[in-house]
Amino acid sequence: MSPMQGATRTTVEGAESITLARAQAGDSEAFQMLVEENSHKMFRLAYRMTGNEADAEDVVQETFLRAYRRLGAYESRAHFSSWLHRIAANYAIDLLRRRKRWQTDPVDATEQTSPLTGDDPGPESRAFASEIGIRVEAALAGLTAKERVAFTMRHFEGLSIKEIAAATDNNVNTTKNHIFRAVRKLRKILGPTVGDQR
Amino acid sequence: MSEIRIDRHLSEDDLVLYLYGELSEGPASGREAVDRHLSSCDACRESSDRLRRLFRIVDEMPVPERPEAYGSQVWQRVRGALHERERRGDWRTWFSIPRLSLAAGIAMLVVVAFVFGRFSGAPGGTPVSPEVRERILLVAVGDHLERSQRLLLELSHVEGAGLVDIAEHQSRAEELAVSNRLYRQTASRGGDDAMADVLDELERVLLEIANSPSAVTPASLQDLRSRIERRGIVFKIRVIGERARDEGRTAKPSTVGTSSQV
Repeated sequence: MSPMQGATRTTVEGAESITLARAQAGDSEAFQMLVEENSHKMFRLAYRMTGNEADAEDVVQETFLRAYRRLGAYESRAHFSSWLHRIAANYAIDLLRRRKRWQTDPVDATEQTSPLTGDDPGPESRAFASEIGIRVEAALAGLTAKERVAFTMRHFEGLSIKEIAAATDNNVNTTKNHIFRAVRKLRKILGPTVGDQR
Repeated sequence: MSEIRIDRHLSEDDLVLYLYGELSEGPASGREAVDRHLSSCDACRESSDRLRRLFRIVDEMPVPERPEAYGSQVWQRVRGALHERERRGDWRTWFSIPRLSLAAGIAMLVVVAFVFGRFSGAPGGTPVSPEVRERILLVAVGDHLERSQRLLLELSHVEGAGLVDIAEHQSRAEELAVSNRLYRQTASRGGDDAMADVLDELERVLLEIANSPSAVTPASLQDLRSRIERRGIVFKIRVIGERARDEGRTAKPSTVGTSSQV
């Protein structure tokens, strides 16, 4: 990170701290700013964790409502976005469990397709992308709630296993196992797509 | 960061940790060792490449776009839901925050009075003596610790099959954490390290409860209880709470003011 980038980041974090302090003091406009700034990011996370728009919208809204309710307990030791991740992850796990959506039979996704092994995203690969997307969604739907949430946070959000363990109220080894199992299940379903016939 | 044994072919789990950057930097069992192994083992390199391709494919998962004004739309929904929950009396909202602020404000007044009295002596014209301020604070801390202890004990007796709802306990933990922070800061500034340490530990426990899922499995609840028990926090707050109450009772009575004047 360049000194300029570092300074910019510090400034942004400083501004967020001030907004947070205002929100904690009961300033609704400050909380509005936090909601507006984090909504897109939270939707992407929520969609990847739940796999459908309605549930993702539910997770986004409930995350901000819970964040509001718990603002008094928020500590600046954790980044605000990490704190939101934690709330969203726990709610998504509850939601997925309630709806038992993760038990969807992923059998349709196991049909053989031509392998995609090249690195070059040429026209054929691009045309293939939407089909791949559907296949990936179906594969993710075959994961348990905890596997899906842990995998999403590691793979898409880049959180460390330690951070995910803290966010989902699990220990590190359990979290590792959730991610390992998720990868195994994904490989089983998507393996043929990447030329893995094991 | 993890370490792995590299006296055999790498497992898929090893490679997952490697590709996600979860291995330590150690030369014997960390990232460098995997790099070396992959440079000399065709089978593991092929496994690693397959996994990389799998990860790239997973990246193809499409996420529906949201309009630029999405943040504003979410806020409208959140604001509506806050109003609705306030109307039903489920939650405090912006309009009831003053109630919380009032409680925190009262605590802060006591805190300020305490600090002021402890470090500056009684200012001229102030009708409340330092002893009274200190007594008020000790009584308040004693009460706070008693309420915290009650919460932890209740939580240790919650039972249920399937998911257990601890939302009500969380709500109380959250509010206790707010006042706890004020008392902790005051104790710390006043040099009462024993009190500050216990309050610091208590705050971590309260935040852990407040930030847990609102519906937990019996196993998760047991895990939470075990962590609380391991810290021995209930015993510590009982001891320090009794100390606070004793000192509150034995503090020299004021000759210039009463607690109602704070």
